[in-house]
Amino acid sequence: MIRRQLLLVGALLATAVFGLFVGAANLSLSETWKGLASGLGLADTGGLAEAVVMEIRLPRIIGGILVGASLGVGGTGLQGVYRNPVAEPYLLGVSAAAGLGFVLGALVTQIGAVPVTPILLAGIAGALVALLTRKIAAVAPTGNSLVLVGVALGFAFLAWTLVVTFIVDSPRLPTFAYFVFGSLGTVTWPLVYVSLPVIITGILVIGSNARSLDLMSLGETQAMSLGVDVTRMTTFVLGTVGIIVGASVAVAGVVGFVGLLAPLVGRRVVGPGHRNLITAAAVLGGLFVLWADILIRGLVGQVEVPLGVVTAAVGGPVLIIMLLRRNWT
Amino acid sequence: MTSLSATSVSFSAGAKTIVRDVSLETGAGEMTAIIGPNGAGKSTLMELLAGFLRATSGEVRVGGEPVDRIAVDQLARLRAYLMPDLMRTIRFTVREVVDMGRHPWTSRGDRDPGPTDWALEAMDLKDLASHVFATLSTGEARRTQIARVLAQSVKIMLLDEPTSGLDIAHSELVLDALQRSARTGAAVVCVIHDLNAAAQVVDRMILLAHGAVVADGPPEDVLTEELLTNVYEHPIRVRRHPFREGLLVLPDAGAEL
Repeated sequence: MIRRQLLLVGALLATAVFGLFVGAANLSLSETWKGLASGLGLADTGGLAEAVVMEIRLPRIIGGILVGASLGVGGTGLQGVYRNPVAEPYLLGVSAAAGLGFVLGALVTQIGAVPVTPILLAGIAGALVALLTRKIAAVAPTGNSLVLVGVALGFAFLAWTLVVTFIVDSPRLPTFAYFVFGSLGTVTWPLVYVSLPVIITGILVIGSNARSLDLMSLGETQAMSLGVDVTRMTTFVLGTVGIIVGASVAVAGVVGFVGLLAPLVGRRVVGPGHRNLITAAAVLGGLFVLWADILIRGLVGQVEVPLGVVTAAVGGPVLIIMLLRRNWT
Repeated sequence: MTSLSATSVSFSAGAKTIVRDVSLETGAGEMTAIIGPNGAGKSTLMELLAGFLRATSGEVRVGGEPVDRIAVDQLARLRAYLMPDLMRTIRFTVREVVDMGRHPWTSRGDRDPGPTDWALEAMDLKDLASHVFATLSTGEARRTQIARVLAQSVKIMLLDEPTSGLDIAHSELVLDALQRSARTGAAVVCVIHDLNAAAQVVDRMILLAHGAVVADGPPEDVLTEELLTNVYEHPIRVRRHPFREGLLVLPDAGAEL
């Protein structure tokens, strides 16, 4: 198990380093090395290469890992609480709600300022909707009410985000297509500095509930019978999922499929135990986002395709294949 | 020695009263079967006794304390519960599921694997220990869940339909194991539909109908033709067991009600 985890982490690091060499600015291998070395203070060449590597590519890569990790862990948390393999931040409307929160926050934030208010509002909106979905689904009488409620809320919040961006034609708002379908193109160091501690803390909080999430797989009453304070635990986990998904939306906009696929693949690699699954889903989510972004930067060239378009284009078929092979749960 | 008691417990959902003024006391050494037709309120009564549902009126006490005043983790060291649903999607192995029964103790640092091994053995699961729960048959899954209850090693065991879906041999294995738990100091309360199997092992039967206790006593007193025929609204005959102590309950659809 530890070997598999190390392999995953190794793959993530290798991908991150590889990602430094890919991008629109046509840097040669040695230019990139020099830029990196100079950025890390090992050499002093400076210039364009250093700026590209240190100010564009590196924050973009770290941002990508953060987004993938928070979505992967977010999906794992939701699937654990609901014992439902389709529960994920995008499908349950958490991402869209965080999107609306972010856009509203962006309206009142100066261009160029560190986006504290948007991240805060995105996190709060994400957490509230994650908790609200559970409340509504518990009252609604149908069996699939969870996904129904999530999809309904998701569409509504997406529509309101649309309404806001159409009515308010402000340069403070992110480019619509890149926000609604996600992009790592606008990641800056300040954004990384603000979201990183939020996401790391959130993942640790969810991780501290790993054993309770294991016991939840027995069913809610059964988990309760074994001493899990189910109401308290689900409130904590759902709220935290909302906050880290909110932070990911602030970094890269609304990205689907990562939260769905990372835990599903993670379970195949490390099994159902949440202690291992949470780290695996974080790393797999990071890998998924990094490779999607490398594809965007490397293959497409000057025109950037939104991140969510690539994750969906790749994730959709992968999901279908997993379904057909019955590796689903 | 009373360890579990209900005093005039009622439970209503909306306008519907599901459990009606139930009082009972049980304790170490006693094995009780709760019997009655579908919809009589047996499962709801079990959830009230386990402390998952709050009684609309009346009170459940565990070890003398009102159940809703005992912390969830503390309660897990006092009583175990088996729910009727099997949760067939669980991807953990049989051993991992049984080991979850140890959570109330491992969370306090007691990592003794003994109870898990013993429970696997008792439920005839040694050979299945490494199998994924979701791949088990109904009966194997039920035995795994019962082994989890056994591994929890507590003095009050509440089991909702521990024998449903089990073959005749494993049904007896489960009931014997539960009886042994009672003999070694646990209070065992289970919901059982198989009246004949129950009659062989339990000390006491509580017959529920429409949420209320209709009869409460040793099997010989509760399993009477008149009572059962009335409560189940179906002709039922009771005979002496041909080769064992106790009674044999047989439906007789052809007879007049």
